[in-house]
Amino acid sequence: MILKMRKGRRLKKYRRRAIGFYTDRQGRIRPITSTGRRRIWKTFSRNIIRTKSSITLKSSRPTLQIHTQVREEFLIRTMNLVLYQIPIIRELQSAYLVADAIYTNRDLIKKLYNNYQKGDLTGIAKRVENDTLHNALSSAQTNIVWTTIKELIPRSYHDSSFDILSTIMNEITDEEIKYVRRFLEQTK
Amino acid sequence: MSEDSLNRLNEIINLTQKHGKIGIRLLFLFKLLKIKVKEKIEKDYPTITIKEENLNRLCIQKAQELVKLEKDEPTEKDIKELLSRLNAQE
Repeated sequence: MILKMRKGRRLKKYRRRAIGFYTDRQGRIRPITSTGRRRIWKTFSRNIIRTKSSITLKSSRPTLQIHTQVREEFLIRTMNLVLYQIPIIRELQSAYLVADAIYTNRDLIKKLYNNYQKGDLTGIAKRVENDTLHNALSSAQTNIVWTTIKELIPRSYHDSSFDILSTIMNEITDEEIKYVRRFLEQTK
Repeated sequence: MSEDSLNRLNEIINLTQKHGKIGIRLLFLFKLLKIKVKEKIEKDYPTITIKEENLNRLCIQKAQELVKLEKDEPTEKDIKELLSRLNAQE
């Protein structure tokens, strides 16, 4: 129960600012201090919506984990930070080079893939064996593509292009490929 | 090599054959931007969860703008110019 502060009552100093008073079960008058939530949240951007997780039945206290949901403006701002502040130009350039080289050699990559399916690995082995360093660092699918496209990429871009190819090939999911395909079909 | 990754490679090549250079460029730029934005958010705000759908939408839009660079072998200068043009439009 919240009680109003009585006139003439001596003000006591509290660590945190008291915003009101209440009596507890023992009848003591206790201060209502501002919550500590502001202290935790003030480091976050205003564009992040924060919601506390549901209160557990056992302890009747909110759990410590704070779930946050990101607003679209926040994502746009992060995208701009990535594009304009971090040196991403070279990575973008490598992505263009790799994509164009895959486009140019798509039939050869398809042929090597078909050979693999048939069990004829001589073509792949011949091409891949020269590049032992890259073999050790990446998966075989990256190597199949890399060995067919590396001649089309300028020497000075080999390392960055291989990194981009390897990262994308290893991390891309079927859902993402389908998403891009759907987008292309809708925008035709 | 796992069956999944080979199927993925097949999917990428099929997309390239169907949608041409624009298709493969869009896929690579989309994925690169998605990785970079995710990395940045995970680094700066580790407690935040991002809605996959929102991130996909933003990355595909940006990738589509970047795909408009029609040069065959774009230089760093070309990319910088495109980015500043896009920045000015926003």
